[in-house]
Amino acid sequence: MFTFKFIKNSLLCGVNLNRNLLVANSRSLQLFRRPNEKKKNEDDDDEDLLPEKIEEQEIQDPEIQYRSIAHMRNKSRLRPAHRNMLYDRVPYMQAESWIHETLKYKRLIYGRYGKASGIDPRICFETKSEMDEREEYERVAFPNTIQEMMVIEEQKKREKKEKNAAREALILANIKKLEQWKTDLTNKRWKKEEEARVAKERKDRLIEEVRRHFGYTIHPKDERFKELLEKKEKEQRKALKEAKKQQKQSKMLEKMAASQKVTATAPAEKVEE
Amino acid sequence: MASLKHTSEKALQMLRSLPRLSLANIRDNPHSRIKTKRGRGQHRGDFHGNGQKRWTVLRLGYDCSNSPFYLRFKYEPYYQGHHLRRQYPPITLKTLQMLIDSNRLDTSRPIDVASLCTTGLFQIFPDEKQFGFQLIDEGAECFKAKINIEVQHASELVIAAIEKNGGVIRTAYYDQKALHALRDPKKFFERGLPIPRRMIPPQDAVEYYSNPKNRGYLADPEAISHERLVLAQKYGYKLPKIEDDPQYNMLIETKDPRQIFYGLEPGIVVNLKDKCIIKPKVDV
Repeated sequence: MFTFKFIKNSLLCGVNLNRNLLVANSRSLQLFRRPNEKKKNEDDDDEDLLPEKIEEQEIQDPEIQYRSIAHMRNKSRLRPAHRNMLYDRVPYMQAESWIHETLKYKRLIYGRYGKASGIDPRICFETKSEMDEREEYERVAFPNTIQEMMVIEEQKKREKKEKNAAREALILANIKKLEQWKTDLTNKRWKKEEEARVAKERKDRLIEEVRRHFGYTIHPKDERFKELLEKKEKEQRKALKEAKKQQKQSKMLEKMAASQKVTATAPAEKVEE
Repeated sequence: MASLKHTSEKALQMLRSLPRLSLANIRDNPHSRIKTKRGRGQHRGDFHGNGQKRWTVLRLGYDCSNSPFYLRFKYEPYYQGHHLRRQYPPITLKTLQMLIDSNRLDTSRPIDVASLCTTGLFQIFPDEKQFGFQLIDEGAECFKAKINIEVQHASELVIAAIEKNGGVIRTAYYDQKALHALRDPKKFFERGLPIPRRMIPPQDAVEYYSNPKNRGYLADPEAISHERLVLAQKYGYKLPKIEDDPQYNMLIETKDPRQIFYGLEPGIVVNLKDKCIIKPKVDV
């Protein structure tokens, strides 16, 4: 309201203020002037733009008058595109950049300004090739239908259950054997210890014997000690071997005696049958 | 469209206006000049954690130790696949009740991600692997609204709290693209794009969304109604009959598994300015 009154007053007061407004606009126009054009004097420029006679004619036509008033009212110093955006109009009526030619931008303008944008809404939809591509993507990304995926999921669940059950059964079976395994292990350990103990005793005995032979304590790393020890060990081994042989023989004899007894008693049994 | 020129054309035009090559307008080879001044601070003046040696700027991830920083800490297996896991930002039942009480949510319409996002209190970032909202049972005892809600994840107690009041809850999967459209419908429609088709859930989400106990959108409706009864018996409340409800039509409103917006099929363009929808002749 204020601006309207202001302009109305200025129009009534005379051309002076009016002219100043247009001078400001003409300066902004200079930016778009081609470089090969000669720069004119500012005063000349003003007169070019504002011939008094033409203005008088224009004022008579209400349409042109309204436009000129609107032009004069625009004190925002906004660029036309920005001003259009402010008033919710399509910012650029003609493409001014390669961006304005892109599909994305055109869709955006249609989406924002609708029918008034003058854009054919058919561009919003995908083309046949794009549709095919999308379908192919879906086919590759989702090879299974929901039903198939549900079946797969069921199968996975079943497999997991079976695996768990098998593992549990194995553990149960092993727990039954656990006590046996424990006794086996202790026996094994005990046997090993016993063997080690016997071997040590034997060795100690040998050393003691060697010492008694010499009559004094001799260092076990001494050559003489070693020789005698070897000799003694050999003897002992021999004795062991012989003892074993004898044992074997006696066993054989026992066996033979037993078999003879059996053969002696067997025919009698047969007769009984 | 004067600015649509080929780059080579532009370059040639530029060359024409440029002066000829001479000794006056060429530059030294790089690094050919010997520096007269020592750099200070970050300009190779500092030690940069490299003991007492100046004049060095170490590579990224190195600090003059034997093991570079990027190898120093061992592999953390409990984060395996963490970057691929789906996130569901939580909303409590208490908050939901507050939204309803303060008229931020309209209970006369079905509630989904779009209506939760348009309250302006929650945001969804699909590119950060957020796949929608989950309802938390906090405030289940004071939840009193009768609603038809669709979320992406809900616990048993939440389902019971909603069904006790005669409401309906459904869990549904949205892919990232669909969620992106759904998080800000106005913005999406203003892009002038056809509404995409919702994708089917990935293999590891199928079990959840096809389970009637979770009120999954892929579950058999009969199984769901049976589970409603089972849950009512478990929590000891009388299940209100939806069939006798005056809001029956609203309560049974659902989306197709391929649909993103209520009442809008995939493939159509919505124009908010003209208040119209445009359908393609070919079926998508």
